[in-house]
Amino acid sequence: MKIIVDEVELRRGDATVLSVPHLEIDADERTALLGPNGAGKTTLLRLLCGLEKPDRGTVTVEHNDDSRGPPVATDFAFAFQRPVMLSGTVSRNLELGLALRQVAPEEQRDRIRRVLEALDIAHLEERRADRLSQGEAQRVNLARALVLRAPITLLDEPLAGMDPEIRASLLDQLPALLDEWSRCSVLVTHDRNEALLLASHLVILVGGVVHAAGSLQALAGCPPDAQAARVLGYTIHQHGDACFAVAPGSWSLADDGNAEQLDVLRVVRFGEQLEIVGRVAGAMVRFRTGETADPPKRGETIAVRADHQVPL
Amino acid sequence: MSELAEAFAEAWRLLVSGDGRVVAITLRSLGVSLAATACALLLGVPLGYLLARKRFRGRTVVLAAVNSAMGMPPVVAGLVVWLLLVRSGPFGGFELVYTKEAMVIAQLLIATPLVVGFSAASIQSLPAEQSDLLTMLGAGPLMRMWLLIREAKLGLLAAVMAGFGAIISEVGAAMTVGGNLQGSTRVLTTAIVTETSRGATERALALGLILLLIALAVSSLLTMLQQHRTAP
Repeated sequence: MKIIVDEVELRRGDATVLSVPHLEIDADERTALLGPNGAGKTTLLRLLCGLEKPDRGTVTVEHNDDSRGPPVATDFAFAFQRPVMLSGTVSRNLELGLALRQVAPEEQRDRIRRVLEALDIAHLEERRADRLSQGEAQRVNLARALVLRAPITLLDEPLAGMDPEIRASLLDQLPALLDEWSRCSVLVTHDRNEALLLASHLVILVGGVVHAAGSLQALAGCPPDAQAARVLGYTIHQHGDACFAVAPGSWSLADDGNAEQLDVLRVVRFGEQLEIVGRVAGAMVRFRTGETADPPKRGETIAVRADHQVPL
Repeated sequence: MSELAEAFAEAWRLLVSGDGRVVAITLRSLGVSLAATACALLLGVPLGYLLARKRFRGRTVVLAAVNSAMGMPPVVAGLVVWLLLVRSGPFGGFELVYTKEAMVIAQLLIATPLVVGFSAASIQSLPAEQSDLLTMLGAGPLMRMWLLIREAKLGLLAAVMAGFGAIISEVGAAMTVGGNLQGSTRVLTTAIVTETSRGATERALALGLILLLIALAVSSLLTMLQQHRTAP
């Protein structure tokens, strides 16, 4: 299965919020739509499943039997960012979608039990859905989408708004959950670590424009432009006339003369390690280094070098 | 003071003795107003849903019209329906004027704006994502409407209370289009007017007590339903 976005433009009033000349999302991969807030990620996700209609262009779903057509709700499962519940119990929230998709009652019960167990919330099955804590509601929200076992599962910021502990535990569980419960998933996130952990493909959106799309391996190692590089955590920095993107974590202290100058803003000690935060030619840089004889201090200028940088 | 006490005593006697005419009037009142409320719900809830969810040109004007119609004097609604149904009027051929059906139509006209207004407000106050959620779970437009109306059931019970409360207790429209004909279109409110004007205060008071009891019973029942939300 494949979702093909062609010549799509979407406006709100006079502003173009999304403009995608061509994009293919392969339903055999796990894709992350990555970008800063307001980049149009959620809008693109809504376009993919037909919740949003483009002002221009088409979104087409190509099935495995070569039939094509506009997106149909039942091809998708959608976990919205805000975990809005329907009245009634947690199990009614999960049942409704299954019933609407004509899943047999025995199978409904079986799937609900298993997905709740997989998300460690089996005890919530008969709880009223409007009496859940934030973390519980997030899990039920996810369960309600996964239980459908739709061909394509769409997740909008599945870990947003969770407290860090819950977020970390769910982030650990999510890859296995997605493998078991969805053939394909497209997730929206503004957090590159989340994208790197969960996806095999990336679509990098900035300002309503796709700056890069492709496999995680290819893009992470070699971002095509400065915007995409910045989203992936690279530091953009000018070196004479040339512009370079320095990979996250590839800065280190230098002792030769052919180095960059870093103005130290902050030095924090983590056990044996020092974290140094500062600016190189205006760009914020943060890296860790081992113990040194003469640790740098705030306000000093020190020599640093980048081990991995990509010319832009 | 003793006159009032006597009136109460007589009213009580009339109530417990199950006076045939009083019972008939009470049942007629209930029948007309319940029928009008039911029709107002069938008509008003989907209309309220459309006003709450659809964006179209003139929507604000329609909402403003509905909100002002919520305060329409019943006697004016009665007059409009009377003009439409009277023998020489556009629908005179149906010979509906001075029948219970005419009263249902007039009360429908009073209750519908209340139902539309209350249901539009309660559907509009649902979380915006709920509609998208239902779409993505696989609900078509009609199923989505039904499910969202169910989600808004608390507000809809308020719509029922407001609609029924307004028409069971109104006298102007019932009098104008029903004509207060004994044995056919006399209801509790018009009977109270008649009994009072002919000096039968204890009968009027008895009918007034029944009216109060009905209003109280209906709103208590609906309030209990509203507050005692059990999981479906």
